[in-house]
Amino acid sequence: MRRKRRYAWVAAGTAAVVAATGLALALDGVPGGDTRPAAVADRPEPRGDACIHEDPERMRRVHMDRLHTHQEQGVREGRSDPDWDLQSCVGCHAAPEAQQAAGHGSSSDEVAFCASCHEYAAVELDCFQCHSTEPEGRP
Amino acid sequence: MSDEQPTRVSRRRVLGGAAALAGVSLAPGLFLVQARAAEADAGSGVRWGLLVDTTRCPGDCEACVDACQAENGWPAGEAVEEPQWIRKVVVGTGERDGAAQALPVMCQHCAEPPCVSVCPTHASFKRHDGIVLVDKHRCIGCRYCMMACPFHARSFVHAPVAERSPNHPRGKGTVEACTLCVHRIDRGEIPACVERCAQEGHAALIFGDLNDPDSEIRRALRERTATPLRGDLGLDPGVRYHGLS
Ligand code: SF4
Ligand code: SF4
Repeated sequence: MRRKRRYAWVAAGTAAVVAATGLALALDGVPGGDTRPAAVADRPEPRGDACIHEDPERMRRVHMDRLHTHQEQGVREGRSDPDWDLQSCVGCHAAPEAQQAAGHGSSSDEVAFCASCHEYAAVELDCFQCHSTEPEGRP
Repeated sequence: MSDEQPTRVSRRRVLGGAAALAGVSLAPGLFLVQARAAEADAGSGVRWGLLVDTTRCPGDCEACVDACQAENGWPAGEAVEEPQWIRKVVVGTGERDGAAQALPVMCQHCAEPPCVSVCPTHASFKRHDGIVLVDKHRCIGCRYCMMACPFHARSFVHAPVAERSPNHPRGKGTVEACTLCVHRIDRGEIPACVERCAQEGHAALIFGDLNDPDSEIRRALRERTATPLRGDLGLDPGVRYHGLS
């Protein structure tokens, strides 16, 4: 019984190390290679000069928490902030058709910006099963 | 938006955060935690409602249904599994009880919504301003709420959604219904069906705050008798009908 539990701990530890390494590579680049992060190197450029919220490094790490907070406030409490809803991200980050046609990374869809990192880190991107990817969507 | 909320918050962190927020310490380890001010939420004190004047609603007009489809991006179709956020329902045969009447029926935005009571995930919920919604992030597609709703107001999305509307995210495996055009209301606009009905010259739909004695809907309710559908159920719907015989 105790040994089984020890194996479980070792397995969980190994899995955590592997996952962390994958994420670190995705975000911080392959050692000795291109200085740009691996998953970011071949990715459509967002429109505009800078993310209106925070520096991109930080957004890369916290965007899911920010979106989750806004989702709760927007949907359940009706305090939606147009600057923070997913549609505002799509407004800058969805690739225009010309870029889609050119193809980027392993994904050439409208949200290749998101997909390039998500695919690399093997984190499923569910948002756009329901949400629109239309960059001009906001009425 | 300044705080970073992790997706899952441990109990310890919640308690720690609460302690940090607490202004008054009642006793060692016992704090008076002030709840977030209620007026921060959407429309505290407001209750959005609709008055349907069936005497102004022509039997052959489908403008409100078309407007809803265009606004919220649900597909047209007669099949029973197709979504129907709003439909024209014909009551009476015209033989016994005068002319048949056709009236639009959508989610009635009940004050006592059975769809909310039965939902196992709290996906089905009522906002502070009385609008009853499905939070699709939580909906598991069990369809209890569809069974519970006496008005058949809710639909289930059976297939992947190809054309997604920026106004209303829709996704396979979740339940949906009339949102009273919550995205428009939050921008200070009126629901799409109400707008279109007025544009068509019928003005059979009146929208407004049921709690505000000076609102257009309250004025109309003072002048015209109005009844809810299935008033016997005691659900206190936010949608009322005038002229039903
Ligand atoms: S009409 Fe149906 S879906 Fe709408 S609030 Fe009432 S019970 Fe819920
Ligand atoms: S289908 Fe979704 S909204 Fe309806 S009761 Fe089930 S979980 Fe709740």
